[in-house]
Amino acid sequence: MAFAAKVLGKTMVASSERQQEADSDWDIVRRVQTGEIGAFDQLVLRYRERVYGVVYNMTANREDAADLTQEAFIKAFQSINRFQGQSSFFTWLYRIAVNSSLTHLRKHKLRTFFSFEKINEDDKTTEILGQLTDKSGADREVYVRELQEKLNEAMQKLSIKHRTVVTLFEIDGLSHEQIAEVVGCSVGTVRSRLHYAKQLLQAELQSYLRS
Amino acid sequence: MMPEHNPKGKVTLEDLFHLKRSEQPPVDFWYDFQRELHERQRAAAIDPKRWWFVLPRVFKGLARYQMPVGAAAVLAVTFLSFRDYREPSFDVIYTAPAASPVAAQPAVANEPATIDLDTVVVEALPSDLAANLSLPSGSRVAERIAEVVQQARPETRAELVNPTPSPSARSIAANLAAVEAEQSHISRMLGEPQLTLGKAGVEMDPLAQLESFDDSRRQRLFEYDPSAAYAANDQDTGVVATAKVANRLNDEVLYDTVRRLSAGGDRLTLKF
Repeated sequence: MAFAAKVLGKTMVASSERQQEADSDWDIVRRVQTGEIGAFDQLVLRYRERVYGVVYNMTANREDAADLTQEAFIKAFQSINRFQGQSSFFTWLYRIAVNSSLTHLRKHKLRTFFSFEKINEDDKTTEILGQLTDKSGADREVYVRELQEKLNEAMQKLSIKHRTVVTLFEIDGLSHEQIAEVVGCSVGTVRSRLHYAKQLLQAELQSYLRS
Repeated sequence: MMPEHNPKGKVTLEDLFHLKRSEQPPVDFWYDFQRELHERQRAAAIDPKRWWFVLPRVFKGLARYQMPVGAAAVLAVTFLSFRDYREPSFDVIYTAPAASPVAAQPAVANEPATIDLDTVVVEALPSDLAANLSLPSGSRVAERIAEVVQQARPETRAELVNPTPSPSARSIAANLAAVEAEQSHISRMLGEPQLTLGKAGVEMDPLAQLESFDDSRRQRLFEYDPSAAYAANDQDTGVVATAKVANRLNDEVLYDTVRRLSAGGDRLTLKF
């Protein structure tokens, strides 16, 4: 019960924050549409990490991710006059980024070259890594690298559709409804894909997971 | 080969996702990112949009009318297919002979192809044409050419004896000869009289166009004049005719006929 209330409260706060963010985005978009091109940089600064995170977790390649993120922002800038505010700007931007990534992945299906970002260690990360290994120094670095590879391998074993849903939900924290809007499918489909993808990931990463 | 993992303890899937979330690029990466983005933005602004970039938007706009647009496309394709595959018609029209020969008019598009035979003959007038077409000396086409040349006015004749025949004239004359040869062949097979072309400048009775026959029996049949025969018979029509009828209908003949023909059940018997 307490957990449900916590989740509901978090969702409501997140929803309220998202709404404020969406209103602010719309103001900036209208400024860009009226010719204040420099205002677009504010949108880039606001969303570049999140868009990059989505694309990076879908492609597992930092160079491709940087390229595709830039491409998504350029496409958004070129098409911003057609944006009517029917959906929130970030949903629209995510849709552009996800579609660019999907096109890229389909085009380079056979080319799988991974290049990873370094894990930024915070308290939570340190705690998790502490549970997984008691190594320190260089050995710990090697272990973390191997763990990263294993995680990315498991993600890449998912189909593109399932990977997209997992990335948007688990890593970027979008709601089912928002993912449905970005991906262009029903909420039920999103839930189904998410459930199936998690099952696959649990099977792949069994050696790290508590039963 | 991946080295073996020896995790000390175990974590949840959520913890592993948290690790994935922590994979972030360094701060200087964003400096370069912003710079490159501005460069690409400027390049994209300079580079004009190609016309085909608009096509997806156009088709997206048409998506709501996909049923009528699709139906119209199918109809258009069907119409074009039928038009393209329709066999050309070769209707030969026997036109009334003209007072003076004129040049052949080009066929109007979408109208059945017509050939004015008199015009064809006139166009096929060059003296060496018959030789070029390897027409037999006694053929009707050659004769007709000679006739029209003789009948043509002097100035027209000068034009007609042009040593350089047009390709269309050549092909039409060749086709005409082929059609005529085919017609005579078919007529022989069917035992029908042949129709010949009308003379230019002369009104002809259709019966007069019937040519002489190889078959003497059919020739006699066509030479037979029923009106003359009726006139000759008019003198003794009454007596002779009655006698002939009476002769043919005598009792013996009738009896013989009835006896030889008998019908019974589902059979008809004829005795000789």
